[in-house]
Amino acid sequence: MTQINERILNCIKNICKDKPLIAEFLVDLIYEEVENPGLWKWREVYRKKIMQFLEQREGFNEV
Amino acid sequence: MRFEKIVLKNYRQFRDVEITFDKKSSNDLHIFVGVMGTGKTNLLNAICWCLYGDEPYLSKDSQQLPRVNLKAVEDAKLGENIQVCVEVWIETEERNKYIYRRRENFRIYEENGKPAPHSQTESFEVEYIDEEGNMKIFGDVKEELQSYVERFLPKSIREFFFFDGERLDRYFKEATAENVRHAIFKISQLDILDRVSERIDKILSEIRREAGKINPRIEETREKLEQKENALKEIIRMIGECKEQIKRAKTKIEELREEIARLPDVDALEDERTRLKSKYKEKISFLNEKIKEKRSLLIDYSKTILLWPAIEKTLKIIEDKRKNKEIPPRINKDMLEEILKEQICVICGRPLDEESKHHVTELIKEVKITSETVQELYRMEEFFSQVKEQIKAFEDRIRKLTEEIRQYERDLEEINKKISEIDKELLGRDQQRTRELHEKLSYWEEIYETNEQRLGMLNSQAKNLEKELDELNKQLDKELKMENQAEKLKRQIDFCKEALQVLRKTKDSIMTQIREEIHRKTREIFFNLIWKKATFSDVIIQPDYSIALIHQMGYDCLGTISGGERETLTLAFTLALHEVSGFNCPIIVDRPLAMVSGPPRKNIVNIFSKVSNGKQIILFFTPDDYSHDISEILERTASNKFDLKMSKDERETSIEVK
Repeated sequence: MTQINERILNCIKNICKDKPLIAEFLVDLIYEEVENPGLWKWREVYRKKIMQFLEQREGFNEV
Repeated sequence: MRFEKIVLKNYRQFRDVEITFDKKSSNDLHIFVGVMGTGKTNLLNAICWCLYGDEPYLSKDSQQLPRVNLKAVEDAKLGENIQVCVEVWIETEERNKYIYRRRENFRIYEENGKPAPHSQTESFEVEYIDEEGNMKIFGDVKEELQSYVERFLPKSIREFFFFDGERLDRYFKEATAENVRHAIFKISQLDILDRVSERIDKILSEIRREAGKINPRIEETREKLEQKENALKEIIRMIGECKEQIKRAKTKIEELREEIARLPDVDALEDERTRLKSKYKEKISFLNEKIKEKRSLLIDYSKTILLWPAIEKTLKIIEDKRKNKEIPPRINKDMLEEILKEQICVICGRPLDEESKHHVTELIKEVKITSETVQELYRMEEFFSQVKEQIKAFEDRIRKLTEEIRQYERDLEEINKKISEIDKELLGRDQQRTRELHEKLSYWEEIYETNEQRLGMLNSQAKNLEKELDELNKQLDKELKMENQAEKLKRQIDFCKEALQVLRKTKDSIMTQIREEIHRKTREIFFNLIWKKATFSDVIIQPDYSIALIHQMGYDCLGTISGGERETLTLAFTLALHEVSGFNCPIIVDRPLAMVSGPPRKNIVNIFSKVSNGKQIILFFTPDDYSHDISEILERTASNKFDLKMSKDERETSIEVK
């Protein structure tokens, strides 16, 4: 069953061709949103993901 | 994905009903027929209640009643529990099953001497059975359960799958561009992108605030930035409000114009009545003139008319005497005597010879009757003949006048008839109401105009603010760079800003892609379905999301098409949305023919029949809508026909499969 409109995922990946980490970060967040339709601790998750992807980016030296 | 079964226990009209949607032919078409009040719409409510926990299609009557079946309440003892349960069985393309089950327990108490149900608990669970028969039940975390429903059909887009006939008709009648934009937005799941954007934006503000604590200059710029951002948000909110007002005003203006068009134009009718009344007066004065003329003519000729029988008789006598040769030929004795005396013919001027003299003398002798009497008789005849001529002229004049008078009388009668028709039309017509409608129209037209102008102003303010924000962002970047401590936070801010930019671009790109795709699909499906293929040349969804149906002559005819054609266009648009969204869910339409009359009714059901080859279609009809011609078409292809029958006490509906 379709859970997330594939078009959204592909479009993000296309726009972020040179920045795959940003794409990955956004796709992750979209999945989090779909899987958590009610109240959830989004602030913590978002913050954690920002830090995690930023560290990865700095590690990979992505511009 | 299709409905396999629906089980209803003690749900509203349905005490214990199981509906199985067996697919008996290539068409997955299922028909429900029942009179008003048998619970057709409540079947739709039952599905919604089971899946989403709400009943959006409840009638006013049903809103007053509890969800639990009234017969079950009557049969229950005080203190007893009754369970309402609705199960929706979904079958996927891979032959897996999802069973959605919602239960609500009611306890019976006494209220005003009568048993009254009180809701106690509600539960929801999802059962999953794979193609090999392995079963799994989910029922612990509410959010998780709801996500299983969202996978089948997200609540936000269910309105594009469950319809009532009225909505099908009105869809492209009001605020079309807004409806199309909303549909594209919802079906594309862009609300998720909006949610992610909103949250990243909140985090961004928090990080900036943290950076502000390091240096007062940073804090100052951050504050300015936040103020401007808030101002922009406020302007965007106002733009939304403005658009909403414009949409509302547009709908109101259309409604009022339609209502005014249905009313007689009172001013025009009043003008017409005044014109007719003055024409009536004019004709009456002409008529009186003619009557007067006729009367005076009759008076003038009264003596002649009175003597006319005697005159006529005299003329007859003279004529008869002439015929009987009782009147001598008309010889003028005086003239003969004068000829004899002068010896010259008074006619040719020739002198009389002896023979002529003798002849004239003999002629004088031959005249027996006295010339005076004969002359008198002839004079009398001449006079009477003149009178006869006058009488004939009089008769002609009188006839003409009579005809003219009659014509005037007929004209007056006609004018009077028209005046009384206008009076009848104006009688009981609330002129105050017409005036009120015009006043309301002016009011909404003013709102429309004012908001259009305001929208222009707000858009330009938003642009300026965006520029200022850009400047402030650059300034903040500079200040953050200067501060070593803030370096880490700056990287987080940049990351968030980049992510937000990608989300914005994605949203714009998807909206455009989907609009173009839905445009292509709607056009393709519409021309495949519509029966008047030569009348229309194109269906266009414009970049501003307005939809246009182009007539073969080149103009947009969306506003003037029939109910059936509009329903076909809505259906084509809906099917295009389904295809583009990837949600292959069934379509349920409550009373698809409610707003269609005449021959297009058959065309519409033919379309549903056609579409059901590849998609599950469930249609609800009243027996009036389900006439012989309609049943003939549908029963050729339908897999099932269900008849809804109400019990005599009107407390329970049973369903028979035909």
